[in-house]
Amino acid sequence: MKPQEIVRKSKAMWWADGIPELVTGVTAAVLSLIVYLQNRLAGCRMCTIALTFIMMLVIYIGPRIISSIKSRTSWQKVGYSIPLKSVQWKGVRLIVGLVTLVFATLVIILWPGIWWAFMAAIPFFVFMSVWLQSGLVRFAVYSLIDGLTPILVGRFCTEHCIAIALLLMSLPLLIGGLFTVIKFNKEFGS
Amino acid sequence: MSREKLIKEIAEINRLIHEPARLAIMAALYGVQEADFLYLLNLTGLTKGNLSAHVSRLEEAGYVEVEKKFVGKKPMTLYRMTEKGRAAFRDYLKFIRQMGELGE
Repeated sequence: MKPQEIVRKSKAMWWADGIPELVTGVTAAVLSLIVYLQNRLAGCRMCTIALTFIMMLVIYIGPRIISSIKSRTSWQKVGYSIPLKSVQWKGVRLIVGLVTLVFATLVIILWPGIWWAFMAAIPFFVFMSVWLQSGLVRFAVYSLIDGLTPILVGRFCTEHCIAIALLLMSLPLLIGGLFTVIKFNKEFGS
Repeated sequence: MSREKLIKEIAEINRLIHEPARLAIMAALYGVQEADFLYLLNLTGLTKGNLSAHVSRLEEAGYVEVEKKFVGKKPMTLYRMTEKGRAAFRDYLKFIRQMGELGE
């Protein structure tokens, strides 16, 4: 095997078991439920604060759940690895994450009419970059589907649009993740 | 390129990385932040003894750093490519590409 092929295979290994997208899909579905409840309980200030707190907690623990599941399943079969981080410093990553979160919140509050543009851009660029790095085609598919979904929902939806968009965006990840987990277990033994 | 210059360039190749087993280890580690022994074993297809010996050579050269730690009660050996190793691997790939272009 050529060294470039091994590098690419190595970069793809972390994504190969389907667990990252499965957990991301579940997270998106849970966020969808939280956003829906936030809309329904808009009059209850404490409920909104509690739901926002739960939402941030879900976003925070998502990556830790991926590692936890991997340590019990795929790492025991193919070994442990952590993907290469483009930005090494934790502080920089935290600031970029917070700025993105604040920016997203501002966009949704100040220009509620274009929430879909922001929701389309994030999965599109994230999944596209995973595809470019790993060469796993299913991430290009997620990128297109999850990039188009908020645009279509934003065009036709009238009520609970963000919740609906998140729920629809979770579906390809859940389906793709489930198929990948099954395929991975067949290949490396369940 | 003249024949002499070509021979000189071939002689300059990083022999430590050029060995197929070590090249596979370097390539595997280049794609990740860190990995364990089982991961390298799976990706390179080497035997345990072979892998261990070659990783030691790379560690001696300062291309790879090894960290032993416990995850719960389980001992774990982690391998990371150093900045020196990354630079050497990048130079090696660049050199190989140039040689390929010359051969065409």
